[in-house]
Amino acid sequence: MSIRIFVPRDAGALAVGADEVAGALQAEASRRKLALTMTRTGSRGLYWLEPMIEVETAQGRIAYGPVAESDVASVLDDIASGSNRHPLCLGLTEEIPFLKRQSRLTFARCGIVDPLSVDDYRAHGGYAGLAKALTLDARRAHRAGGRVRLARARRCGLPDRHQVAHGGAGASAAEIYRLQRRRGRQRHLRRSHDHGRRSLRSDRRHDDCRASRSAPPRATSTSAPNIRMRSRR
Amino acid sequence: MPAYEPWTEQRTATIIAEHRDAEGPALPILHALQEAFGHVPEEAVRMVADALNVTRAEMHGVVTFYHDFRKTPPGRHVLKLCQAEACQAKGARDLAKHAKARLGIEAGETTPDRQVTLENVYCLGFCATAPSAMLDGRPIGRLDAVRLDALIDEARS
Repeated sequence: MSIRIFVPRDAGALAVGADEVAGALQAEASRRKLALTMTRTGSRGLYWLEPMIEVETAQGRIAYGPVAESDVASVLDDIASGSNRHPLCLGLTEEIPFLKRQSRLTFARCGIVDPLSVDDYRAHGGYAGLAKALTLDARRAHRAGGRVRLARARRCGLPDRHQVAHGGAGASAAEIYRLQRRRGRQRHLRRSHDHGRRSLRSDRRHDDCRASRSAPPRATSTSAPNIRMRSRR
Repeated sequence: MPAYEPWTEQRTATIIAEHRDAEGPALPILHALQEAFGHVPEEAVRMVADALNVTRAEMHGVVTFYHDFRKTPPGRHVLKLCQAEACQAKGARDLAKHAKARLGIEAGETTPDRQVTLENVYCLGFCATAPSAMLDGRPIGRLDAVRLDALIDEARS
């Protein structure tokens, strides 16, 4: 049997023992000869339920929480039986009322993906706009003039990093480009990635790929030498 | 627990040189110094001020503004207890009192055997699992007297 389990590694979850639970899961799984794939995610934000672990099922992810090291064996029993009768079983994560009522924007993928995994990011629509933009004939678009370029940028739906960096103002790359054009500066779409990196740092924790300027991560974008996030590891 | 190297002028100069070309180099330098020596001594502050061409007073202002920067080396373990609003609401003051009584020191002090430094901090950022603490960089939430005793025993052993 193989199972996939998600365990958060956000500071709040670590503070209440997420690492210990992750370790106990690995140990118990290898004792039972279970093929366990563990993904460390951000937190869904239900801190009273942390450490909240989730298991992938055909119906969606099922959550358990708050899980202590000593609960790990019985939780694995419950997962194996598929009965969902464990006292810590919370049912389908997406159906938990606190989550269900939310429209998540900046934190849309937080708790769902490994924030450092480009594959996870792509699986959730990451770089789709960029991929589309790359198929366009740049020279033809340039000859066609600003208005056509703008329309194309809009069709690609390429998000702009400003969306992430400045508290979710919600402007797309096309919108930024339109505004910049009106002000008569910065005539190329890609140039909007070049400035103001600093404000991104606080966003890296929960969705690193998205925060990296909507462009493929560069060598520098995952290292962030200036932040001091000692609690993270 | 990281072992800190003794402060030397030469090592300080190397650290400054590593970071001085970064954008806004003051804090990266101070962090690197504290990481290496466990504290940022007065002499080092003077060297940083010289290197960045700012007055010593200005650099002193930066260092003292951030309470995380220490003037003297810490004990072998550093126990930080959050005393900010959310943690106070969850009983952090009593926990602090308990810790001081058990260690026999005030916040900001180190036990005579140099095993434990006790520090107050003002928000570690995981208020939802308050009261919060940090032992040598490890975050700890939902702290109570029993867990605090365990942490103190761990730090003293």
